[in-house]
Amino acid sequence: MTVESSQVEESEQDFVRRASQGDSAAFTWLFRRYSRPLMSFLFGMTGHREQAEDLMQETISRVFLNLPKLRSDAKFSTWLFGIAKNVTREMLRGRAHNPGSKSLDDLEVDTLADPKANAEASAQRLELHRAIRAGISTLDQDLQTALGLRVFAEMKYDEIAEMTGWSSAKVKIEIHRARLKMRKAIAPYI
Amino acid sequence: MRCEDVLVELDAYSTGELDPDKSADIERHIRQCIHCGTELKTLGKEKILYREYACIEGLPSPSRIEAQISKLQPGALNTASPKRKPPAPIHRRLWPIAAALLMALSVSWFFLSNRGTQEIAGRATAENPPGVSPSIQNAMSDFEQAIAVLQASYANKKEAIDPAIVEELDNNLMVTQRAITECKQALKENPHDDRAITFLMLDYQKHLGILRHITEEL
Repeated sequence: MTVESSQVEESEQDFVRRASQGDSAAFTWLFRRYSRPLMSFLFGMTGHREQAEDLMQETISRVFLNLPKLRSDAKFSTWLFGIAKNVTREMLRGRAHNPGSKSLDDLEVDTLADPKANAEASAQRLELHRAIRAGISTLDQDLQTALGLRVFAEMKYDEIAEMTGWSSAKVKIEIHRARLKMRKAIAPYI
Repeated sequence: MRCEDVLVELDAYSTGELDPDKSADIERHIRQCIHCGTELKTLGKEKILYREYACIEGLPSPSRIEAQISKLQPGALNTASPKRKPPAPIHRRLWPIAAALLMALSVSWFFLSNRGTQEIAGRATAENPPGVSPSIQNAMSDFEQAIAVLQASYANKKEAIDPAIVEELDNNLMVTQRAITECKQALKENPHDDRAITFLMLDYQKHLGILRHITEEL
């Protein structure tokens, strides 16, 4: 660990301590710091903006309720994405068991429809979106999550290992496998 | 190393997560193996696709996050508390400013030896958040000018650098630039946010470090 990153982590621990004592400014600051990777992860996993925002809200609520229980030696980002991962998995399981929910295609069209964009660009974006969604759906849930943490949340391998409980070597092998499977779906766009 | 072992490590190699020895082994292998070299480039292209896919405009704004947080449990957090927190010890309040000044000094060498680049530097200072102290403003300007000059130098060298390396460097620069923008946004809302100043200075230093590496070593 570099001096810089250890300084950043020390400061973050300080924010976590303050937030767990009820300091709303510290709590907000933590979420602002992670809002972009968190939203990218949630959107990447669901393929739908509104659902990603709902999951973000649920994640915020659970973090708020459980922050006082966070161990002082635990890394906040790992814990935060662990919660986001669980929230997402619960939602995906619910979607699979709820035949009345909107189809993925409907959701994609809702998400990507942009009246200002030209039709060709929108169509290409929609195609890529579908290809990635189709690729992700071929992965089992563990692989989906590991890949999502890596490519959407851009987490490091050791952080993913800590979160999943896998060894670092296993994380690398599994994500490599997931990438190869995904490549079949996205090959035309590479 | 065998190709199958290299391929598993390639992504961690591209983000600098491997120890130096392993990284050097992989680098040697890639220089000799066209297949793994191509894989590295493909990996870079895939990352761009995933980023495009997950990139959504208009993230929830800080005020929206704050609104969500305040709705969670009225009164549980200290938003409405009339009690002011006691001020931090003087050494903690001054450290971000001291760090900013030290870092500003560390980039000033650059301008002493690059007077011909003042025109580029003049264009560099973006709209810095109003209200932050003059010493922090100066540090930000120094960093941004140094970054602009090195960025221009990088743009000139780009064609001579391996495209896979360029792609990786651009990704790293994008991450640090994003962090800088977020800290500046936090400072716009609270110009006296010491933590945002601290992170901003660290992020500037990281960004500058990448550009220095490119211009001095590639």
